[in-house]
Amino acid sequence: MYIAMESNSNHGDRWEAQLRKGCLDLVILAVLWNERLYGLEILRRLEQIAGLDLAEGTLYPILMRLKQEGLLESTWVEAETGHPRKYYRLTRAGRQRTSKMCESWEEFSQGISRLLMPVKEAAR
Amino acid sequence: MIAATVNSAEAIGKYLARVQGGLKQFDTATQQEILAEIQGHVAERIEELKEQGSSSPVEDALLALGDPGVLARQFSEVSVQQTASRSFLPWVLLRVAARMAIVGARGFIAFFVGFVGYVTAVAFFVAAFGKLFMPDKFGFWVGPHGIAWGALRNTGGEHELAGASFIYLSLIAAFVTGSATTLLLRWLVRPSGFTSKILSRLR
Repeated sequence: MYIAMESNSNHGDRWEAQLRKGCLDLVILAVLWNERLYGLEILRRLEQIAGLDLAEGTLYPILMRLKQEGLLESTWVEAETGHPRKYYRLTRAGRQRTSKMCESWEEFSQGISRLLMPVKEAAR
Repeated sequence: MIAATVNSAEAIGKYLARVQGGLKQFDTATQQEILAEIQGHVAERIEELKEQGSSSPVEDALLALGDPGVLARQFSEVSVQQTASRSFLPWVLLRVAARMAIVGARGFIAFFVGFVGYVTAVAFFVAAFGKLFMPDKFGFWVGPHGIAWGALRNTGGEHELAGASFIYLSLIAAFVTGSATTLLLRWLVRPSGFTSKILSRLR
């Protein structure tokens, strides 16, 4: 019984991790919608706004990929801290992609919410 | 205090060296840019952790970034996709498409197209060689069961129409199919462009 419970718990954690992983591109693009940010700022914004505690090492390869896909562009800016910061911002293609992803997310989440309605009602 | 600073610099230096060790496939400028960004991140995290009262800010900052080997590997995977889109080698393209297939529809389509395309090209190639060594068994067959390109399966009155030119035609078909598959696969695994936009809708 204990093993089964542990297995279910692991499965739940894995599912949640997969869910978060699937949304990473969207949340990173979305956080850059209004402003240019550098890596650490992106992490802080995600934490503050969405409660997403993204592994720090995961962010930079994703930023690199999104840049290679032409969705982001970057600029090095001298900072008072002594270390230059690499700021990212959305390109035109990035804004278009983010809009599309946002639409897809809306449709998807609304559909899932409808599907989950009986589950929520039963849980009350 | 000076000793602590030296130790911190040494720990950061070792970490960055291990990351750099896994970035061999990138050119020097890209390696330096990646390392500069990580170094800047570590420096700011250390300041943050000091303000939060951490007793070992350097270790905590490096720990939060994760294993340097894993970090380098994540960067490498981005590079592999980039390299594949410039490659003409079928096994490189298929390997990348297989990796991409694990994470999305785009990769699955690329792998499917690549696999079917290359198998077809190999089949044409085998048919050409088959005709060379077993001319009675391979050819362009027309008979009561329909038409067939390749090995003879039925013996119910089929006629071979292409003759010796079957070899040339099969070799041309193999070349065209293989080349078209390679070009299509390069287009599909390319990290940017029109295809990505179309396929991203399928994700």
